[in-house]
Amino acid sequence: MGGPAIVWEEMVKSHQHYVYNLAYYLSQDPHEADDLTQETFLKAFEHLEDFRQEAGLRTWLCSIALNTFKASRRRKRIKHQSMCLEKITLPDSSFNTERIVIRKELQWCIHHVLQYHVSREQKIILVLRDLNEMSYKEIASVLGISVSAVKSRVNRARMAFKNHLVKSGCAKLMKDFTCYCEGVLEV
Amino acid sequence: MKCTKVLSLFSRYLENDIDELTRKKIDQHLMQCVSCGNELLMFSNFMRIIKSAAKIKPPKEYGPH
Repeated sequence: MGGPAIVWEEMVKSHQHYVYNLAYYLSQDPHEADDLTQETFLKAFEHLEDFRQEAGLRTWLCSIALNTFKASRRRKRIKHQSMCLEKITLPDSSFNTERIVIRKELQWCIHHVLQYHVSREQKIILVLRDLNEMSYKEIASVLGISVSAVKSRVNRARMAFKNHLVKSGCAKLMKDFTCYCEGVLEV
Repeated sequence: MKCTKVLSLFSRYLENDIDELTRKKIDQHLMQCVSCGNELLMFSNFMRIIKSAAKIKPPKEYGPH
């Protein structure tokens, strides 16, 4: 395997979690997220010559993932349907402690609220900022809006998420505003 | 500063992305408003848990092989 292939593999390895998280929360389905992530990297590979260094690789990949998802939805004309709560499938966790149950419950609540209680726009903002930890400038580039608009939307999305988390009963996981999973969360 | 304005600036307040004068105004408000103080605690707690609990590890390696 030659040099460029190794560079490509390293690039995929260091960026796939950004793309997968965005794909997972957009599609609401681990299998579709898998396909979407694969398609994103294939497109990136095919269009490497279009990549502008100043845009940043992470920004470019997230833009491709977002556009691929939108195109996929347009093609399939899939209407959003509420799924049975029992149908939510969490990817396997690598944690193996007795506190995994608490963490699973918290994860379930967070996934549930992210998937079904916030708007798609808010979900994208939360994934890009809080999961992918992208800068406001990077997010502005992905969404094609101003940095100040991103800042406002991030705050609104976080507030909406928090409010839904409380409304949906997930606040039981918090005691005196401190999550009792604290130890697990730091793992 | 009113509660709605304070709430709209929570993210920037917690991320230190705010000018000193505005920070002081928010601090003054928080000292007098228990409701906003509680909201801020919940908000900062949420920011911490979403970062650690919502991230998902990709199930495999991607890209052309």
